Amino acid sequence: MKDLPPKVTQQLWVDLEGEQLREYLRMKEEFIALLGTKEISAVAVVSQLLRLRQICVDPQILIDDISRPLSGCKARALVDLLEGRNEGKVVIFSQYSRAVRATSLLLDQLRISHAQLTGETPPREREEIVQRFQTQKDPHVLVATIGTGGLGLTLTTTDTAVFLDKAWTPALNSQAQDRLHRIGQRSTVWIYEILSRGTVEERVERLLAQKISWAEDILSHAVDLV
Amino acid sequence: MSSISFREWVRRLDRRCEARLDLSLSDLEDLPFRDWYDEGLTVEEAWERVVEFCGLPTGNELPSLTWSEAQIRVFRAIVDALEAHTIDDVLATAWEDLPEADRKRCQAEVGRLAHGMRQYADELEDVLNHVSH
Repeated sequence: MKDLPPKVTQQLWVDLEGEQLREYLRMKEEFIALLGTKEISAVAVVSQLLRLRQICVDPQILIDDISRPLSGCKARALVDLLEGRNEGKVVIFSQYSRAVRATSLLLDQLRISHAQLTGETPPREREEIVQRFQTQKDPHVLVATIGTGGLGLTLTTTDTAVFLDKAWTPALNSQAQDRLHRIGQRSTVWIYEILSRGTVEERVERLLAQKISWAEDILSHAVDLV
Repeated sequence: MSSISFREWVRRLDRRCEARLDLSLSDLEDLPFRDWYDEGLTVEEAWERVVEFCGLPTGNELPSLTWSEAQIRVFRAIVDALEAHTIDDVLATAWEDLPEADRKRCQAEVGRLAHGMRQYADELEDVLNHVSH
């Protein structure tokens, strides 16, 4: 839209290290062995792929019982980002509800006031959280899943969003970004995407770029036609 | 509004997910479950939405379905086709050199899986690239 301020996307590439890297390589080896077998179930492929992506965020989100704060290379990058922004509010997105819970524990540890939005948040509570985020000093940070925080909300009180991971579908990521980058936004919107180098995320990023490029091609041709 | 509580509704949806995919609901991308419950969706209807939103392969037979070498060949053909943007052409010829029985089996299974696989092919292609480099 013409009257909206600019939107700047910055990708922060981080390297898996230590236990996170070991877990990723172990899962990757498992996957290679699986692909090498004569019989392979579609479910197993889907499941392994999902686990590789989750390890890139934090290996603990492989299991349902989230008891520790988000840790690993993305957590460190997130903390750096938050420390660099003492004043302004921030929205943090992830696809996974477990990552939202782990991030919430990290923010507890950092003593940063925050609220969570996941698929299980009742609509009324969601509205109240957004209302508070928009109008009051606290919460300072909103942690939301892309699938729920990306829909129908107005989060223009902040100009910064951090993506701990991204959906495979460009439109879903755009919808989440548009919660900030919409009418009512007065500042340049900063989108930070924390991505793991040399992992499946790097491949996804290329695919997303290709998909977006195709979409832009189609749109530009449509403009030519009219 | 459903006659069961939201917790119970989610539990049942989670059981369905485990039975079909061997994954917990919270393993998948998060979705607006509470909204769906409030809309009055049954667990079955919600499951259909999960499959659609997450681009999962469809079909009740999925958990026990295994891929023979021939089936993998068909899957690779889908991936090739996506690259070439001629998916239907490639699908039509993917099993040409297979024995008659395998060909028929592949055709039948591809018919059932094609929809889900098309949605997922990008991701699977990516994985194949990833592990083969």
